Amino acid sequence: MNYRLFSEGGVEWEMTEFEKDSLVDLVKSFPVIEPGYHRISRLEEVDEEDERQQLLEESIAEQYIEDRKRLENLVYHERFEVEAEIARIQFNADDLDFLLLVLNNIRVGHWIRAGCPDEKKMKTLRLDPEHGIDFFRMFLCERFEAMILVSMELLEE
Amino acid sequence: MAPTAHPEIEQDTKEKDLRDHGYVVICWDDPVNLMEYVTKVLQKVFGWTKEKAEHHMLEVHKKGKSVLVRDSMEKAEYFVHQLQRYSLHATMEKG
Repeated sequence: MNYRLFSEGGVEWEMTEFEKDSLVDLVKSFPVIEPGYHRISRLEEVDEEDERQQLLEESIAEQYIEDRKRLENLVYHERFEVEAEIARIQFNADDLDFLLLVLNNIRVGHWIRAGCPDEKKMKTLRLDPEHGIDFFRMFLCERFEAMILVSMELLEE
Repeated sequence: MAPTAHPEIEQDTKEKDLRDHGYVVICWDDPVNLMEYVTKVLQKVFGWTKEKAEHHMLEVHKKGKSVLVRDSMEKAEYFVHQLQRYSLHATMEKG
């Protein structure tokens, strides 16, 4: 993938059609993290009936609906210009910030699905047929996230 | 002369203090969020400089957690919702 600034304060990405299809496919899976995954407190005993925990889950669920709508208008096949097997798409700073949040949700969500592997705890990712897709999607998300972080640095300069 | 004790007033004051500034927002270490990503999120959510956000990110990375802010219950809830929206492992604790 390549990127370049364009005059209206945004960046243009150039990618292969496979990368375009991968990005469109990835964002269709958003959100991957279940609203009930996050806990409002770690040190207190908080059960599902706790008002603050319920408020958190409702807030995340509502936000997901809004984010999904925004995403449908941001990344879809027709928004790319394809010429000579190169796909181009433009994003402004707000788009990039939002897309970073989306891709990180997908990446963390697949990490959770893969059993939260953690090398420090000697809990490695099992590369079996069930979790191979999680590994692949985490890798793809990381690639796109790195691209976004570089693009954001470029816009801030 | 010792001051007259007013247990009810003291109790009300303690509860008010707890509501007003009695909660801390903590970010916990995890092996999945990228260091640069965590810095960006802290800058975005709290409006911090890159240096301040990096300081807290490194504290999370090295010590396992970082207390980000101390605030009222409502504000702490707001910050936790924002940080979790970005998939960070954040909680609010009485403190």
